[in-house]
Amino acid sequence: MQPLLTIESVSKRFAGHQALHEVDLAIDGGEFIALLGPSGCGKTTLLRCIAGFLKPDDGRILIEGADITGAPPYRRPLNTVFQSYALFPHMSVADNVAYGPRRAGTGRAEAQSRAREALALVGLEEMGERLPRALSGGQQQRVALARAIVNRPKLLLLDEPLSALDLKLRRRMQIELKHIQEKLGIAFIFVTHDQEEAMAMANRIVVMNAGRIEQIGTPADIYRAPASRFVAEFVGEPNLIPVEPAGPGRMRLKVTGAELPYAEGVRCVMARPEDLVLVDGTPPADLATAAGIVEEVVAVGPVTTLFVRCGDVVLKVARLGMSAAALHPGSAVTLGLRVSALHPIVE
Amino acid sequence: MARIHGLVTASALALGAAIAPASAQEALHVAWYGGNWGDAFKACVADPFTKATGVTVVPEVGTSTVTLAKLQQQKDAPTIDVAWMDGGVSELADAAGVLEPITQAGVPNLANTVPQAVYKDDGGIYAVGTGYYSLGLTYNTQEIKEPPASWNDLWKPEYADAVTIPSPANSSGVPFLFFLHKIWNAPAGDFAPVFAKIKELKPALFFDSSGAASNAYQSGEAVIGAHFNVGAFDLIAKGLPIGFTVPKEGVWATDARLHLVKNAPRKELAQKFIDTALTPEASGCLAEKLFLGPSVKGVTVSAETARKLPWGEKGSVENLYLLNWAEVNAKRAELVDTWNREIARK
Amino acid sequence: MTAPRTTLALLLFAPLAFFAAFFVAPMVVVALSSITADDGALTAAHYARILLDQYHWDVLWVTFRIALLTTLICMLVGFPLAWYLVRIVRWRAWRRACVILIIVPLFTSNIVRSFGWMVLLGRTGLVNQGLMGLGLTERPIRFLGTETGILIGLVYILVPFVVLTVGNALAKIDTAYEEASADLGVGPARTFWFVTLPLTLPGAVSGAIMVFALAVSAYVTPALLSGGQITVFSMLIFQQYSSVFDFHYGAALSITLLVLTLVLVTVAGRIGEGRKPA
Repeated sequence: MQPLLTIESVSKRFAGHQALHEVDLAIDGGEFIALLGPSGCGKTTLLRCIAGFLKPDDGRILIEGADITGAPPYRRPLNTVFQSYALFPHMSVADNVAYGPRRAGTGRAEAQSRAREALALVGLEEMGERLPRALSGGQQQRVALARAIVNRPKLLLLDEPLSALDLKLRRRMQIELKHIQEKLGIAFIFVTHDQEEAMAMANRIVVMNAGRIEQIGTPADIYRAPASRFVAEFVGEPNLIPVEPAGPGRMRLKVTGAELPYAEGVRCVMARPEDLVLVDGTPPADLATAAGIVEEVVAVGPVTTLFVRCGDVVLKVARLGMSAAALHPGSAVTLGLRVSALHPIVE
Repeated sequence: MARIHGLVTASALALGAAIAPASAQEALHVAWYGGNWGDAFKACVADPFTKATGVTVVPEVGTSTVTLAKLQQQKDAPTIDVAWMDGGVSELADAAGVLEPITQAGVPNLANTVPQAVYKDDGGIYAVGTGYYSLGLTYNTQEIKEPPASWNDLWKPEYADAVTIPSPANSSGVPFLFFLHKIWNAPAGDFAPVFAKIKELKPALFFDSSGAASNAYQSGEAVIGAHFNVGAFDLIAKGLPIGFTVPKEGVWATDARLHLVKNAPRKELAQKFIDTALTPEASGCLAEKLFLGPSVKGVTVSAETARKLPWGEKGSVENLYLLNWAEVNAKRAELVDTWNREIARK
Repeated sequence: MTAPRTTLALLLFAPLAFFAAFFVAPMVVVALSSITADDGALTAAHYARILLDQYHWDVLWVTFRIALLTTLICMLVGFPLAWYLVRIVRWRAWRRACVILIIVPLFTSNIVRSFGWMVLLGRTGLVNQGLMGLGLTERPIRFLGTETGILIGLVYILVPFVVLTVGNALAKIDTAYEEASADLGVGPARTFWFVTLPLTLPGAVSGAIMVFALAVSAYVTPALLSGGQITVFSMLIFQQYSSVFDFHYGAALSITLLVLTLVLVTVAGRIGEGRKPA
């Protein structure tokens, strides 16, 4: 089966700045893809190339095998939810949503009924007569979504659609968006710089940096097995533990002295803070241990993070709840870590 | 806030400073026209006056009608002492009761003035002319080799679409209708023949302002028509191929007149100022600068200037058609209205 | 505490006094003058004389027709110009140069510019020379003394107002609206009609109202370019003040023009408002 969207070595250059560098990507129907990266990484440029607002300098973009690289935005079978929502201020909510079908030649009554349906899907069926500026930010966001899905595109592009909302509303909308996406079966490409948002929603995450794709994978892949130091540091909190050679085909962790099989180009391994535990008494046999001194305790409710110095490395240790509050800076502790949980970082 | 307060105070002070010299006691306030007219009045009359008396002259610049409006407003407590106004407006000012009679005792030079330039009514002399200007026949000397002999030449077919005469918005517009009425010997009080003839005229434009007329001659839009002698000779002085002639029917003319304002705060000085304007020196100076036909007897001007006077090279005040302004003012509204309906629409 | 308050009162009072002295007072003087006779008695005779006379309605029709056509042509010329400046020109220095070119003529007097047109549009002027040189016409076309001539002069003087107001409105429109329209499958022409134009309408209407008001009341340009052969209402007013000296009748003419213009402008404003859903 051919992919819904194929991006073939797309490059885009702005005055003196390579925004995209030979990007390749294939997306299947019904997928929820997050384009994740820091600002300036090229994720929005890639989205605008797909939407047709920018023309790539090189490469091709295909939808179901048809080359649309040079097609204007209004001839592409996809829709966009804009970061600013871009709701037409001179039209009512219902007219905004009905705009696409109306201009495509659908009769007034039919277009209005489709608009009502789309508004019902986002829970705003009562708001059709209002002007966009009379709605809250969250409501405007839903209208923008309704307007973009009213034509039932196969592919929906979302450009940081939740970035203007406060944290709680944002969490709620993440779940709601995910439900709507599953219900409609439309493929979403969702641009965000928020790694938690990406993990919460996407089937697959595309991590971008400096105009290139660093890694494509499921949230678990990206989190557990980052392909680069950049991905490890951008997604979640990594502990990067240096390693040194230890005889043929072996390397040794600088902190615990545990040994691992050697891999080419590896200078450190990653352990997530929740992979590290505090050990009382005799450790289980599969744990490597190291002695350390607590430097700082940061308790934020569900999770308490300890900053523990082991020699010249400071490791982060996450513990559930606030039970570790008894520990305080200066406490001597023993850290344990499971060697099988370590992920070598290739550089 | 303090800064804004300071600014307000500063501007108030500056305003006060700007007003202060104008209220100085020993300055004579004279109303006259703008542009080169005002410059000439200053050079020919005000400067000699200041030299002789040590009193400065503060000009109040405005057209005749604006000056009349000011005088009417300040009727109870005038600040203007002397006012220049044109013929026509002069009569209106007299009727409005804002003028003080000029007397032989106060202005000895009245004796030297030509009788036509002394304007009297029942109450005495209300105005005195300081120089005549006329609306003569003006033409493009490249297009028209021989000076036209008659105003009727404007209707010649070869000048179709290239003729200009004043519109009623110009101060000479209504008087010019009277002038045509006279030279065509139309029945008394009946202007229908005049309008019928003007309707046959093929104009380039009817000019509202002297500037518009000058512009039309300069650009070649008009090759023949009426123009003030002052305007025509200005064009000639610029080297343009323009001629000015007094045809056999004569020309309409009027004058710039001086008036003593009723209850003038500085009456003595005001009379002295008028007296200065009626000296042969002042009159000759105005003739040189504005080509005004002298209203003072025995003024001699250079041959060059003599050519440019309102009555032409060999004429005198006798060649001028001077109107009875009371008659003109009485019929003014009616003639303007008829003009609007008959002429100024297509 | 009192010092700032006095200052504040002064600051509020100063503009009010200014407004009263320079706008309200002259208006009241004119309005009073229009309903009194020479002897000071109240009378409606001046208005009766104007409104019951077909001639005045003819002149009003000419005046409003010229003003409407001026407004229309100014919009047709000014809108694309504003579009070019705001949307097409990418090079900032060139845009700035264009804006200066458009604004600088506003600093010279109307009289000078109208005289300029008299020279250009004359029988032997540059325009006719050009037309004859190109063989488009054998005899010079008559512009002066025609409505066409007045229109050319007024459009030239008033087009900057449209460019500035519409340009300002265009610059304020977020391009995301047009992108959203394109994204919903609508081509550029219909996007302009359904999105861009309605969003610029308030700016365009205020520009049009400004142009219309200035064109209705224009005196210098029609007076010079009509060559006294077409009469617009402002010329009737000027005549009464400058050569007939009937200030009462002149005042009544002024108030008539003012009231009719206000009525038309209000109606136009309502139409502009009406396009936006309440």
